Amino acid sequence: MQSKECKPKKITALNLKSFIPVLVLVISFTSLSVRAQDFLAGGKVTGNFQLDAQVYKADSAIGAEEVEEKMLMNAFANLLYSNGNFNAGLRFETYLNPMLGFDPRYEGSGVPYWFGSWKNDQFDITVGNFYEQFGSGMVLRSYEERNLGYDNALKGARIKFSPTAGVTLKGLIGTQRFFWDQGPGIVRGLDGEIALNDLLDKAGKCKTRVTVGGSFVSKYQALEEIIVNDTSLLKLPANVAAWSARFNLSRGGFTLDGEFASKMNDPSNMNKFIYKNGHSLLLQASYSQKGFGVIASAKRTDNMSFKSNRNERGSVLDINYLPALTRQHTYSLAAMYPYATQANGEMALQGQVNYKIKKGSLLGGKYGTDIALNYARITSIENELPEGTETIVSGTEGYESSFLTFGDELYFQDFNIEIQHKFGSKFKLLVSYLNLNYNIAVIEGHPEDSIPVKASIFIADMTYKFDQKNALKVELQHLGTKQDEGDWLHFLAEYTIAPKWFFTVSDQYNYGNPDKDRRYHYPTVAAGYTAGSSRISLSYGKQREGILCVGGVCRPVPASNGFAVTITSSF
Amino acid sequence: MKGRKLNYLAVLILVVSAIGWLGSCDKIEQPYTEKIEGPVDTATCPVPDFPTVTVLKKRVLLEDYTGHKCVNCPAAALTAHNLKEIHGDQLVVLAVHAGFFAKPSTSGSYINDYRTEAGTAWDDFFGIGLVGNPNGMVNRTGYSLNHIIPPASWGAKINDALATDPLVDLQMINEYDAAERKLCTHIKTRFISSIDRNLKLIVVLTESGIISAQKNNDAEAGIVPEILDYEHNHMLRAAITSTWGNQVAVKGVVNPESVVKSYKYILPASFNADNCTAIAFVYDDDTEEVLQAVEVPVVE
Repeated sequence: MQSKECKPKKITALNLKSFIPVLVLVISFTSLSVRAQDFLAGGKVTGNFQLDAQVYKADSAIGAEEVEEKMLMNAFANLLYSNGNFNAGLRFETYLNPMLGFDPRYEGSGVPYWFGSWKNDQFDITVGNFYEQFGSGMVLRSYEERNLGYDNALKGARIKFSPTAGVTLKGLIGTQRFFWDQGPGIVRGLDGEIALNDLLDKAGKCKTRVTVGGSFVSKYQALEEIIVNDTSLLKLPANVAAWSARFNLSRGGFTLDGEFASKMNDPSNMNKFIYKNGHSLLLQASYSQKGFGVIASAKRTDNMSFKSNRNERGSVLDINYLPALTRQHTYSLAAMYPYATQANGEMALQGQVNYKIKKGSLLGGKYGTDIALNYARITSIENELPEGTETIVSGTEGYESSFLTFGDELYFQDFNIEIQHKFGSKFKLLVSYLNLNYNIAVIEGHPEDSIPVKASIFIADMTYKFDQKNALKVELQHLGTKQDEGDWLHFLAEYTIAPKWFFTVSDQYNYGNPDKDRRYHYPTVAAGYTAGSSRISLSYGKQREGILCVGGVCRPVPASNGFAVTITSSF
Repeated sequence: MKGRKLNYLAVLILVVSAIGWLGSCDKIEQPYTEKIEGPVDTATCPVPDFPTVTVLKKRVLLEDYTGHKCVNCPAAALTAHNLKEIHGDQLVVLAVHAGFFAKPSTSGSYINDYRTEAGTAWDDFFGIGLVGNPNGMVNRTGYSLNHIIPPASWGAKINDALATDPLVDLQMINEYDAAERKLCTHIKTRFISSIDRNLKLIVVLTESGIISAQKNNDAEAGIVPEILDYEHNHMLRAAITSTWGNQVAVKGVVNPESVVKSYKYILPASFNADNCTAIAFVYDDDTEEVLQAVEVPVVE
């Protein structure tokens, strides 16, 4: 039977067609330039594969919608060929159709990523698709985060050049991946980094190490007509520049690093088409010695969304990345309210102390006790609108903001403590407490009058090793809040028979939902089998609706119910 | 020594090119906008008096994203037609020809280009063509994850939308001068209660009764595999406002009781004015949701 929807046939054939001649070219060129090296002899091929699929069952109670295809699948395989100084690789991806929560624009199959690269002592050249980061990424970072369905790989050319020890220069030009297509903007970037010790103190006498660097990035997007406020045509910049300067200083266990980034007028759909320059400052200091570590960091961001399409609003075509200054939690209830970086403006502070109580002391016991304390606080920036306006007006400077003043609105606060202790050789315990303040209106775009969520979370994670092969892990988690969906309980038991098998049962219970009819259970059973470097895991159960964030970049996860399989393999 | 000289030369070239790149940005000086001639010309479009509304009605906008080379689209158009029969003037249907299947061929039966600037911009923004045709939106609700609605679900979504109370009312009065082919359309947006949202008004022109080829694979909708004399209805022909419309309410600013906007539009000679209607709808600029719609024939 023919599908009830018409779908353009476009992707696979096109990508493969464009890919094959280029690879042939790259290979021929390389085999010419890499002289005295038999291209095939000594070559090594490696690869990995992952497939995730789920059979969906509608469940109107938890909001799991009917899926017309019944089953959805995401899969990819990387193949990498390396031979001496030459590397070539590709990634095949297939989404038939994209799993719920992933952008439907991924639908289809093809080779969106391929590259060839070669290097000698001073040059490293890559053509095709590549990932790159300048400094902390505040002016340029192209990366892939599979869990988010995020990929802004650049397609073009990159040259790394090291004229002398301690000096690295990078130049690149490319367009960014936009699902199966490329974004409309061209990204050009230059980065230089100098390790002063390698350059000036070749004998290595100086104990203080200093590295400085700077980046310049410019994007081009063709001009277009954008009308705002009914009758005003924007005068757009076709080229938008951003730059940054950074340093890193270290001596013994002490490290201090920082980066300041700035962006020229960049009216976009993200900033409501205002012309104010953007800024971002990141400072981080850390100290560590055996059994003790402390990190303090601070960040200010103002109008720093930088995309290669001025009309985009979602998590696509980002040229830069604004590092998240919050701890990334992995336990499921702790990760229920994750922070999403606010590129339009935020002030962030974070501190963390790690301490290990010594072995043999009263509290340390035979193996020592690890304690980690973390605190993060993120607020709005101070934001002053011009006289006579009550909202940001497109086609103007937008607002003024004094650099070091915190705004009044709290976006996110997280205080957490984690203690780990091993009681003998068989039993290990981790306990953790988190206190969160989560501005659901700002972070998840809930209605403006939504009350911020204040939550307290307790976690106990116990692992008992019966012998070298058999272990049982039990997780108990509780989230208490009077807002949003109220209180939750989470239970998980996992039995592992190393190195091949694991079996898990878990349940999340929204026992404190203010709506008594919505106090649902979300049970799941799972099992996995590993053979060498291949692994298959199966699960059946319900998944609550939520958001998933990695490094401050988030995607919504819809509720689902059904049978899921994950297969991974590498060689 | 020679190698070192080469290194310095390479560094120099890079530094010079970096400085050159510093020019790769366009600094825009104030003012950042240019005034363009407004679509409103009240001198030639005198604003009439609007009659008092006695019965407040919720009207829902159904957008059917379609194309003449989409074989499954006639069945979807039939679904839209049947829903219109059920809901009458409470359902406003807009057939947007956009995306891959709306592209004209260079020769043959499909040379007509029914795409519009606004339709293509919406299709790009809402990503409907990428998901496939036919698909649509009901009041543009559910953006950005659940806004694309397949034809089978249109009926249920329309019922849901009709079950909510209208927050604004729209009235439209059209005056058409056949000699000049000039349409003056006046739209009154009345706020039922104070609304603290950014609202915009979009006004478009549609035409029905366009006879032109259409691919088809559903015998119920007509001859398979193509209907050479297919009647295209509710086809989006042009946006009278800009693609994303004009502001009628601004967050943080107290609304007046109502706002009247007037637009002048000269109908191209290829449009049959007797088959044209003007459609206006108000939407929330932050959520994209359409709050109210109205449709009035050009020639009343």
